[in-house]
Amino acid sequence: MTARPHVTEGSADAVAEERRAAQQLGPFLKKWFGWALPLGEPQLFMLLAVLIGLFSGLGVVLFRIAIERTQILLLGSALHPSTVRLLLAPTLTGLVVAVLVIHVFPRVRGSGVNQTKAAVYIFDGYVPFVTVIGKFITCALAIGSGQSLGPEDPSLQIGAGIASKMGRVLKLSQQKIRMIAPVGAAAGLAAAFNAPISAVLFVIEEVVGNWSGGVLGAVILSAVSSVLVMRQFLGTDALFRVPVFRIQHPTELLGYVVLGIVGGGASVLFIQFIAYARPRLRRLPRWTQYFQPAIAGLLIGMIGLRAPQVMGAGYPVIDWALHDQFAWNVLLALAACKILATGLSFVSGTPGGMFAPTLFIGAMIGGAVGGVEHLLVHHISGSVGTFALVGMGTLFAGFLRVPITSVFMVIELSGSYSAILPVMISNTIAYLISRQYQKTSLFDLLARQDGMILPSVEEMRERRTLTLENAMELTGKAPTPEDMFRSALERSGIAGDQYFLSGGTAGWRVFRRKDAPEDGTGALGAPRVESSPYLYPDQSLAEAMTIMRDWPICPIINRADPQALEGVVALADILRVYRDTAPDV
Amino acid sequence: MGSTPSTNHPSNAFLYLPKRYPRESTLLLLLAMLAALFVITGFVTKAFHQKEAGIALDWFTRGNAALEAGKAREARDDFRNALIFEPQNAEYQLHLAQALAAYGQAEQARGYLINLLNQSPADGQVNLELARLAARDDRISDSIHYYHGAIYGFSESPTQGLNARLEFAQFLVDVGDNSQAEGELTALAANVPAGAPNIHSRIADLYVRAEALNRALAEYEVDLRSSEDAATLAKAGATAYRLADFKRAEEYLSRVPENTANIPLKPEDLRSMLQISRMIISADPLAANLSNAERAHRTALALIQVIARVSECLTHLPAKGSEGLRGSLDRARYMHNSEWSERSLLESPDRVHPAIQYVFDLEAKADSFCGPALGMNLALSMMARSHASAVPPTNASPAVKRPVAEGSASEKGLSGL
Repeated sequence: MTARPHVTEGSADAVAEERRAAQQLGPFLKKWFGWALPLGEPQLFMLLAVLIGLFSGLGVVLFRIAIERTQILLLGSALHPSTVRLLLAPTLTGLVVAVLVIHVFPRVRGSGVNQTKAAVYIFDGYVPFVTVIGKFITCALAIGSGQSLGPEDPSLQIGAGIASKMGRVLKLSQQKIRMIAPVGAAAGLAAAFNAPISAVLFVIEEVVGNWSGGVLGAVILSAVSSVLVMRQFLGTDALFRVPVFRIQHPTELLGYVVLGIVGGGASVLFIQFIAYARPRLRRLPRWTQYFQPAIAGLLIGMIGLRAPQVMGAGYPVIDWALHDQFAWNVLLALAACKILATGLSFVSGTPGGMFAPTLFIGAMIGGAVGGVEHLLVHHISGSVGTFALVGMGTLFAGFLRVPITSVFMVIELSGSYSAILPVMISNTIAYLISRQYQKTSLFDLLARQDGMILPSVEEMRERRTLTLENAMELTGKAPTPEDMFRSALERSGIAGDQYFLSGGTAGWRVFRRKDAPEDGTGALGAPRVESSPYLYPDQSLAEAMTIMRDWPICPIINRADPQALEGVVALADILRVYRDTAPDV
Repeated sequence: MGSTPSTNHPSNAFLYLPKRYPRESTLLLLLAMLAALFVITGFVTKAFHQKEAGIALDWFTRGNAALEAGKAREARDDFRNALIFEPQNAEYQLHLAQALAAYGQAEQARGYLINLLNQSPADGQVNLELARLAARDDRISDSIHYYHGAIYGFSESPTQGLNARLEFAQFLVDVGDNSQAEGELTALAANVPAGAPNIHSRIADLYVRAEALNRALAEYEVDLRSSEDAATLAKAGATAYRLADFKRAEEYLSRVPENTANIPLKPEDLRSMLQISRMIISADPLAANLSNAERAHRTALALIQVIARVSECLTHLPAKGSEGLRGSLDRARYMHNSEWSERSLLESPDRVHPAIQYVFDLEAKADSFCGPALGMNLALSMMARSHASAVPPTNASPAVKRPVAEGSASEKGLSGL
């Protein structure tokens, strides 16, 4: 603006000048970009998904570097830091983080997954950008100082925050903005794990809850772009490398059944520890919140005196476990220490994620189970490292309750398909055990503790879809089409003289006589009956109600043979099914 | 530019964009920010990678120093620290595996090595380390498999390939598979790269251990043709001595300088072998190109020597049980005074062979009654071995084929090879 001192904005000169500029620029834009301008909302959304992926990827790269630089600065570069560092770094940093969380970034506390879900279901896609900055700073400090937390959940929220901000800047429609947070979440998680498939699956499985085509394409685009950026800067290698192995005999899979049982049990214990301790700590007086992360840090530092491996995200230690570097009893001790350390970090309100600790604990438990099985059964083919790999997925399935993601996660993190069968077996068992003994999933539990009732994706997954077959079960079988029709009319409570049933080459229809208009304007020769729509037995009740519109009854025909009448459903039947199957409130 | 507004000013055109296409303009702005962030992230990442690589290299250097100092545990921790910062570095992983193996954590070492092998199945060093681990655990077939992999993996690096093959041959000798070891050594000897120092001596040492003495002596001699190393001379002399090739034994042993360090044989054993060799050369009645008079003289002296030994020995033996030896001595005395006197032997040179065979047989019998021979008697025993195939055995000479009296000084010395 300062470059044009003689032209006052809004003046006649300015308007004329802009018009001239438009005349000059117009043909240029039309010639070269006419095909694309102006961008429609769908195109913009897809383009934005790529941009979100790129920005999130860069954000996550910087976040990872910030964590590692902080760790080198505070704990040094050795695996076994000095005692002073071990005790002071997490304690003092805990104080700083507490002050930041309480006074500067109050929304960084809690699970990034739930906050993204809250953005989708409660806040119309709004994730404050200050939360992104807050997550970046506080998590880098906390994880870098040795708190037993991981960078993936914060990365997910960083991605969601970036996406939300970009959606708002570009003034997307409310509907699109609501969908944009999961797109960013997938990008953040994909970059954090270098695992695009798992990130997409996790967001669909845990955040969005359905496979809507509109959001799926954008989620995939953003995940892929963020991983490309991450690989550009941090390398293309999988997070872990594991030896290839083959199952020599099907009976060896029994070993992984045992791992699934142990992993499921550990998952339940871990969730229940958090369910028990977190609300109790939160009920303590507010001033204690200044000290909770510091006390947790001090306790973790004390654990670190004997087991420094449990501090921080612990990826190198997982890698060692995958390479058979520990005896089974050491692995078991590390798993126990990590559960304690992670529990302390998390319930104290220190910001950070649970993904990396889950993988750590799973790897240690898996390795320990594998070590014991090798002692007992000598001919078992999978190494202890293989059990550690499968264990990662097992705890992921049992603790985070994302069974499909957990399988792909193991494949992507290891870059190997060789363990697919054991992973599927073990994960499924752990998931089922966890569901059996811990009804509420971790994310739902945390949301409820935070005072939010977010839709439970797990419950959505399990929800039974009611179909017309359920309505037909209630109406019972009638021998002839005429009987079916009469029975439906009776259930509807409507007079039979206005409706009749008729079959033809196009299939069965219910017909309704139309009254002539009272004002006598009805066209001569206009049809005096109208035919109903028709339904199929497998259609959902909701879909059936939409199709029936104002028809009180409707024929249900066979998909393969339209002339075969399966039944006649009444609107009253559908309402009765809903009433009979409604959960107690 | 001038003081009046210009309609052609580019800023005017670009001011038009945000008003006509606000979203597209914002996108352009975001792209510009993205480009800037890319550049910044690039700089930050590069600096961070350099820092990480520096830290990793520091730990790696410390680990190597610790490993060389024999502090395997420290080395293991240092290499692990290095791998925190460069987890995919194959060299660091290999060194960690070596440190783990040195610390006795073979299973842990194998985990890393198998992983490295999956990444690079033809890596010679990884195969070699796995072969060593397998050898340590007595998994012979695995070890052979990995040694073959190592030799193949080092095909581009002749020196390392040579060392791997030598190590493999040594492993085969250690497990007692001498025939396969000999085969490997023969292949190796045929493909020795130029300029490999003392390589023939190393091959020869392994040939000796595989009991392929002729090949061993030939390899020592190859090395001796290029440089006259005291240790090689000593080993060549000892090998020739074991082969009963006393002329060559004397030749090499006499060239070994006195008081030379780094010879894997005791000086007294070397002296003994040289002395015996010289005795045999000077007293052997069956040596080529001797005059009849000299041959008869040497045979008579040998007879006198063995009679003296047995006579002296019998004074310490009880009469009962030594009748056979006494009978042989009586016969020797009788023959010495009759058919095998120096004059008779000179007159009838065809009697030399039976006479000397009798001497050899009597020495062997004396060995079993009186213990290992010494001095000239030992020389006579060695002579017997030397001529075992040349002289037809008599009916009284079951022990003639025994090479050297067990436990003799010279045999003990040879075991040090």
